[in-house]
Amino acid sequence: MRRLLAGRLLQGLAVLWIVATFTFTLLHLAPGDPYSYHGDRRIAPEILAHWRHVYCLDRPLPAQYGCYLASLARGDLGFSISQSRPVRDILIDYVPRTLELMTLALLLSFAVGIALGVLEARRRGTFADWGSRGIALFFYSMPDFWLALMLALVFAYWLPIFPISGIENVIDAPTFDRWQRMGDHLRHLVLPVTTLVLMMCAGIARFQRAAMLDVIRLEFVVTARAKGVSENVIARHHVLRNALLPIITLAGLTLPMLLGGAVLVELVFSWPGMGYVTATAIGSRDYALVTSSVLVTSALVVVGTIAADLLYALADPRVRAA
Amino acid sequence: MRIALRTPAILLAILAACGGPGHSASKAHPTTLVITLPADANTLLPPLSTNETSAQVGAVLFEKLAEVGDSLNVVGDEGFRPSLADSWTWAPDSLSIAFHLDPKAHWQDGVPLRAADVVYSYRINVSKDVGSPVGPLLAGIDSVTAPDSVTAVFWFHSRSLEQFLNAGTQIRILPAHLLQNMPDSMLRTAAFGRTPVGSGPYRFVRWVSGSTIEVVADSTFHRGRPKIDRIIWSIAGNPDAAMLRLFSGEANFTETLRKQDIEQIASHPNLKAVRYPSMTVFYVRFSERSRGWHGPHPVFGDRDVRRALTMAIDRRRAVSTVFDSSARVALGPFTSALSTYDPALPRLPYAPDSAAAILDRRGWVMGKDGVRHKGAVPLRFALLVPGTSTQRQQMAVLLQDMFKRVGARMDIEHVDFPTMNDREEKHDFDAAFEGMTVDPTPSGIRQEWSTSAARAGGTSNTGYYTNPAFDALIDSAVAASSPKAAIAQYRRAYATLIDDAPAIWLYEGTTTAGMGTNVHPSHMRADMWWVNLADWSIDDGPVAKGASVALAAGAH
Repeated sequence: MRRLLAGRLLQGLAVLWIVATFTFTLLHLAPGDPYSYHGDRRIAPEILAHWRHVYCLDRPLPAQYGCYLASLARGDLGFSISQSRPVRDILIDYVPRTLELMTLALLLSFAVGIALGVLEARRRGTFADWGSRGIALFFYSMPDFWLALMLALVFAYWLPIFPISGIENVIDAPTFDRWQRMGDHLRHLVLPVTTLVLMMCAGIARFQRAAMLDVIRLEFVVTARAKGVSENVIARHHVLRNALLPIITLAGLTLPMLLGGAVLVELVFSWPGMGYVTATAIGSRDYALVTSSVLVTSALVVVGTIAADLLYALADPRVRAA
Repeated sequence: MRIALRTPAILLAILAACGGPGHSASKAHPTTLVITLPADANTLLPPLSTNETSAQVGAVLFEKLAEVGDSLNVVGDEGFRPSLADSWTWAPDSLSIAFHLDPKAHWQDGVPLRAADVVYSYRINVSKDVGSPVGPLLAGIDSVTAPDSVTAVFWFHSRSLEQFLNAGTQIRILPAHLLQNMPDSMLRTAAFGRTPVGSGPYRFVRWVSGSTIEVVADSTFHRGRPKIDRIIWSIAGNPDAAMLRLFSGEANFTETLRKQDIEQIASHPNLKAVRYPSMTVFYVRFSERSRGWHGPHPVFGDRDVRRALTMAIDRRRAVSTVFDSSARVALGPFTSALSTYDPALPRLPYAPDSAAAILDRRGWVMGKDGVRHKGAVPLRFALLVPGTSTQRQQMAVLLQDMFKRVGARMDIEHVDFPTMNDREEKHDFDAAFEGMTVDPTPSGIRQEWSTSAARAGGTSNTGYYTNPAFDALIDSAVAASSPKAAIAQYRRAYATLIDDAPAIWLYEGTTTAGMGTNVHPSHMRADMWWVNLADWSIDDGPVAKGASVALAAGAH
């Protein structure tokens, strides 16, 4: 088990280095730099030259790469030129917001998706199965930005139940007590989370349904049924547990979505999270911010994959033994 | 199962009731202006702010010594309004100006604002370690001294008509007592940039990154409390979200409406559209040097060809097709809001037949493919167009058709802004569809179109337009002894520039803001609509959020 973990960690570090190098190279190959555009206003060439010098942007690419790796090795993620502050501070502000949004969305998606998958598998071929799959597929096939806009239009404009965008009621937030603030924040989460859940749960339900149907046919289930065990107990204790293995893998693979999976939804609902800040940073060629965002997301992929491997080992003794 | 279905519905109902419109409407609100806009500020430290949101917030937190008046006159000191300085005195030789500070002025932490703050602010703005974009504008100032605690004297290298403008309005005054112990090079990362203490009409409250910046009226402001109690800048990530906020009442002001938004606002009982002048001018810049800087451009290196191509464009039709009546044809790299503007300036007419004749005369022969050639060189070029600007894209297609009629083929290259600027800076372009916010300072034209700007490189004069006559006229205007003489010289310079056709001057936009009907803006200045925010007012009664109920109901 330790060797497995150590091996995976080393692989993870190599992946992170490759990702950092690849992102750095791609970004610098794109035309322009962080000082190429400042709106329609002009900034004197000598000032631009000064700033480019301060941030090593006037050096050859290999020298800039050296600067970048050296600062990474020191744990310094760099300075965001578009936001005029260290990238670390920006991540501290924005990462929790995306984690909050995506954690809630992923948890709800898995809960709803697994429940739907179980329901569809147990009622295979019935109206409930077809209806559930049809509705899920309907939402799954929609572009996320469009679904987000429609939800905003219906539930925030036509029926003004939820706020249209943002993370708080900007007018009243300062006067709220703790509970009001929490309630207000949850209200702002409803539409973006609902959009994401509607998008994601269909895929999870399909996975779960297929896994359940695979397990239902196995001999030990037939044996349990022959012994007179109730269908509910068979579904919960025998089928569902075994059918969860592919879902664990899926959960591990969706972990990177915690940071990078909601770019368009964040943009539509003006949710100031990592998707929003990364999209803005790409537009302004904010090298440090983009590379750090990608790096943090990659780190999550690595952690997610390792976590999935470990969960697999815990859930399946055969994997542990191997 | 019934319980399972009910639970989410009950939760949603509870959430919908938490802090909703009804909840906020029940409170007694101070008047609040909620401005929705697309970008967050980068810093609230004025010398380093580079985006418009920072400028807007900075303008209500920090003061200048004086303010340009509504007429936008920037030569001499006529029309300027007192701000931190309640009066000023010119030296007999005009080589220094003494600004007399309002003794009642103070920082929002209670410390009096003194001349030492002015001296410090000047030093920071010109410091090489700080690298403020304002620095080059202060090149004519030799030094700043403080003979007493409420007098700051600006000393100049030489006389110019923009002395007062540069000294009085380019610098926002900073609190020396909070910043002076910090090395200049560290100012960029100072916490002050996110939690500023100013002396302006509003006091900083909070900044939630990517979401909200809030300021409240300062009752102790030395020129009197502003009329609106609170101003909130609310960041909306895209124009649609911004408009939905305005329509739903979550915001009550947006600075720019799109054409389709204006039509919707017209039918909305609680919103109004207010048009104000703009300082942005749009044009197609020709590169007079070939790509890679190897001699003159095969097409645009010839002044007559540039003039012919300009005459091939029916600008009035192009502008009215794309903008209807919300933009006007530009005469040059300036707008009608400038004091040096003259509607009688000569312009190249729309004359496609004359354009074709000029091209014939210059050896561009029409080929069988409908494209003119001069030897082996076709009359063909690429126009860089920002992919995010719908209007520029629409207009580019119209231009393409008009050029085709005289035998010129234009290819449209859609690029993003950084790519466009990078390619212009590296001289890797034929023509570029640019938009530029014009400096109200007429001499700013030198930075963009002079020979020295072309030679300096960077993003200015990337087309390498050079004409010693134009340079001399601008120099004369800057050194003129009276505003009247200066304006005459500027107009002659404009005429020279228009005649040389380094660009096709297309349009100057007017901007339309959207706001609640109970919002009463003071004069919205062309260069900075937000300058007079302290004089704006909002009618008593429900504000933004309270109004949202009526707006949403009224919509259906």
